[in-house]
Amino acid sequence: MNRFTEEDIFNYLDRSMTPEQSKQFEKRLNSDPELKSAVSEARIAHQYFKNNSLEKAPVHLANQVMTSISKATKTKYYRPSGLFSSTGFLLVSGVFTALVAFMSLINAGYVDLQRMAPGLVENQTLLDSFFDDFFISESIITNSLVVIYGVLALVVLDKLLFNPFFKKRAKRLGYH
Amino acid sequence: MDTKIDDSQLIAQVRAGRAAGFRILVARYQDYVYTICYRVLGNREDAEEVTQDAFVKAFNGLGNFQGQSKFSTWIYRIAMNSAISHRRKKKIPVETLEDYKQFDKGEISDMAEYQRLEQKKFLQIALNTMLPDDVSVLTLFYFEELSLEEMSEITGINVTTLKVKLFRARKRLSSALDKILKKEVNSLI
Repeated sequence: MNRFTEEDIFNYLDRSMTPEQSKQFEKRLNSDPELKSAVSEARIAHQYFKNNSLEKAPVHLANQVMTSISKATKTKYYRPSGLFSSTGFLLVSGVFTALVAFMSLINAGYVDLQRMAPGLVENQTLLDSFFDDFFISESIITNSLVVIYGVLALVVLDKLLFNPFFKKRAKRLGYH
Repeated sequence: MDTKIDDSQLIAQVRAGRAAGFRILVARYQDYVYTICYRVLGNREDAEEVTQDAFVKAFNGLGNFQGQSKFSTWIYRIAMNSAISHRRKKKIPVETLEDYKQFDKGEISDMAEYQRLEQKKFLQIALNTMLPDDVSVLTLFYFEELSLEEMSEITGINVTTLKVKLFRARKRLSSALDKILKKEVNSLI
């Protein structure tokens, strides 16, 4: 009589044996209590899984998925332009820094507009007279630049270090 | 299950910017994806969360989906990997026999339904004692419409190794279930 392996038991349950093999297996099954017990143990798991192969997903799942997708899409593709709280501050800081730097250069006499663009400024004396009256203290310029660059450094630090670090930490602790 | 529009047409719609097509794909595969997650995680809340994440990941990755494999194979792979990594990362409280006993207090008039619920309960408790890799292989195997080649594509395990893994997993499940049932019988005596 043939010896049947455990693999044969599963092949028998899956009906993947040939009719001849199946017949032989059943014949042996009727006379071998050990095989019978092994088959009934495997059959329980097989039947339980077969009868419960699919779980029903919660009814609201599709809606939740679509809501998450819509939120994620907005976050991914929506970039506010102009003076919004997130981007506006950087924009204003940038423009102010450029203006202060430009004024400082003019004030220090580094910019000679008549030589750089003769057609643009006809009368250098008019410009000189304007800047004779216009004076910004060096300490104000320095302090303004320090404050602006300090804030910009903080923003960069936040974007590069703090934000990723705290996001990672929150995820690790299970917050969403 | 909606069979009017096939998956590739729906994917083309989504790629063209009509996200509503994705809702049909979700409705079509949500039970399968949820089953993979629930079997691996053994907990409904986490399974729901991971199922949702898997679909969002699939939506975001549709641009990279080549269409060489079926959408179902692809989404099952995403779900399986997400569930396994979620279970490894986080200590998940799995449902125990005690959790199910709370529901047993309700009356179920239909005997066949009662038996099915009982089977479901013992099956999940047995699966909760097994390794997530084994659980996912078993779950995919019992989806029935998947061939061993498709299962191999989903799991990334070659067919020969997969057969061995499946055989061992079924053996482990049989013995786990046998232990649980014997324990249950003893507690009733």
